[in-house]
Amino acid sequence: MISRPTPLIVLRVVLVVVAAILGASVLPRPGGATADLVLLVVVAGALMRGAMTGALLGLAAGWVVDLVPPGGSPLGAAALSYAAAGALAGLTRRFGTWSALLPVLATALAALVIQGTRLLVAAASGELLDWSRAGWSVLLTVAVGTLVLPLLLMLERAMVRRRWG
Amino acid sequence: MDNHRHGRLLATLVALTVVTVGVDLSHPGLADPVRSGAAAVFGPLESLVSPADSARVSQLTHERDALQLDQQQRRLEASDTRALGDLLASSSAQGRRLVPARVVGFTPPGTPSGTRRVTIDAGARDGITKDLTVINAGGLVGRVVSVGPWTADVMVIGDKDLTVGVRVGTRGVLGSLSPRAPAPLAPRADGQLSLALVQQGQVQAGDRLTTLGSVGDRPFVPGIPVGTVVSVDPQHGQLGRTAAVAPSVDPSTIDIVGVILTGPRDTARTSDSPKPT
Repeated sequence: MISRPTPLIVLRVVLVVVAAILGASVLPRPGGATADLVLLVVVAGALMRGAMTGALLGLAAGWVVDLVPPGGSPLGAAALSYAAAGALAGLTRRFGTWSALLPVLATALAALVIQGTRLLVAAASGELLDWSRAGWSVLLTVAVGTLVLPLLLMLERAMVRRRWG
Repeated sequence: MDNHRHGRLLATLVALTVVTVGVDLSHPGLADPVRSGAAAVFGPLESLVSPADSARVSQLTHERDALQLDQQQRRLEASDTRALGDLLASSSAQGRRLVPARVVGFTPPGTPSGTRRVTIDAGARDGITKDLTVINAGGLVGRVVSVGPWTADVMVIGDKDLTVGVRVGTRGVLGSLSPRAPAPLAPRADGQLSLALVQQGQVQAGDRLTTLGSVGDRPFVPGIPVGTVVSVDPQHGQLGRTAAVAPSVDPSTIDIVGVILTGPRDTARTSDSPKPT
């Protein structure tokens, strides 16, 4: 992975950037909550390759999320939370048997980590805790994930089969 | 091996990210170049993707500005209401009828020194007449000297022509308060007034002054706090004891004041005699 970026890695980066820009601008926001498309890309990568890849991909994706305007504060907090979510998603692969439900479970856990970190940061800075927004974000991410994650996994497997990643 | 290299890379990047978080938390402005660089890259992409809806944007901007203005108004109104509440709750206002008013003008700096007057926005049509006491939540502000239909001029404590009869301390020693220190003494410090005791009374630093009152309660009603004695002057040849007084009202910050409405007495006082035991 360090020697030369494979097409799969490039594809992941492009997907993360596109997902971040879409998430910051166009996605509908019922009650302030959005479906986290960036997280889905991270979870797909983590489920295919394991916790280490998931953590690295999450770190990079979190940096992109922090930098795409308006960005998060403090700078880098999203990177750490996405890294933790990616690592957790990768660990579910190791400790669970592969079934149709595992991606959904991994998405749910990762989304809980992200929203939990956001609530922690809000509590630490003394703001009001928006539980409903966090809950709806998790639900929307899981709902969109049941549709989108199989597609992402199929894409990853196709790239691996063609020896592009 | 691959995992090992990845592990070291991950650890390094996580450490760098933690340092960035720490830097951003402690010095919030430092990360701005990074953010503006990212904005230069991602901003155009975002504006490309978002549908242009300028009518809605301008409508929202108008609403936001109107709400900000409204909020400022309410803040001013809230502070006025608080000031009025303080005035009506103060001890000087108890049992008296007040016309609340606001200071709308003051003597410009170019006038001859010693003149200190303000204009308030209550006048003859509000029931104000000449020579009424003006107070605020802190104590005595001054007396009304001239009245127009909707505004009135108040001579504020500290004006060279304003002399107030006072009672000093718990024993109520009589004295008179004016801005000018008597001849052998140096002029008073900025903002301080000069107390001259009538006859040889005793006064010490920390004694509180209240108005003595005047005939028919014009121009001063009795019992209004005026100030506190700061220091007693040593005998340098002045007649009687004198002291420096700090007024309880800061003339430069008066805003909401109340004019005490008093009139001549029209009921005869009943005579009294001790009851047989």
